[in-house]
Amino acid sequence: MGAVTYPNSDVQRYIEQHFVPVQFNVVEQPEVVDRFNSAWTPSLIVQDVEGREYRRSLGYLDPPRFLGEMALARLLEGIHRRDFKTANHRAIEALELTKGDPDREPEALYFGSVAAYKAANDAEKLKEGWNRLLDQFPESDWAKKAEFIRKS
Amino acid sequence: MAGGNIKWGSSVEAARKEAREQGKLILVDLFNPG
Repeated sequence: MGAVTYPNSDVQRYIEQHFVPVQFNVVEQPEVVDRFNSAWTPSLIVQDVEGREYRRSLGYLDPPRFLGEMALARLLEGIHRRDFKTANHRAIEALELTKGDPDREPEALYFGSVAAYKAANDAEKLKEGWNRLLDQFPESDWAKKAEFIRKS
Repeated sequence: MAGGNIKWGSSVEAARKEAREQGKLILVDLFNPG
């Protein structure tokens, strides 16, 4: 992460705009393994100011995947905070930053549709988004979670 | 610190205070330099 991802200017800009970053060396501070309940590195954990966790990623991420992870964390934080207007806005960003990532773009579509539905209080938004997910990523795990929408 | 020009903090408590003031989330990175 320190050799490729963090020196990336897009990554630096995104962290600066949206996060307060904290870093722990697990060799110098082995107690953090228990504190954050993670025995593998790199571990990336996104929390709010109350310590609520919204996203956790284990293993190396290149810059595009890192940005997708962070965008998904922000989207999920908005949804769980029930600020659906903000979440809907963040969904647009998450879709942009996960585009072409077969692991994360389907998730962005899934939760982006949730945000759109909740923001508009319109279930058609959920159906539209999830149908798009089913069309574009039919074999994805997120499509499997959404496929009941076509049976309802 | 392993991380380009990013200004990494070393205290979650201080990060929470800053995040509250700035309306941001906290990113925790656990790394092994080896």
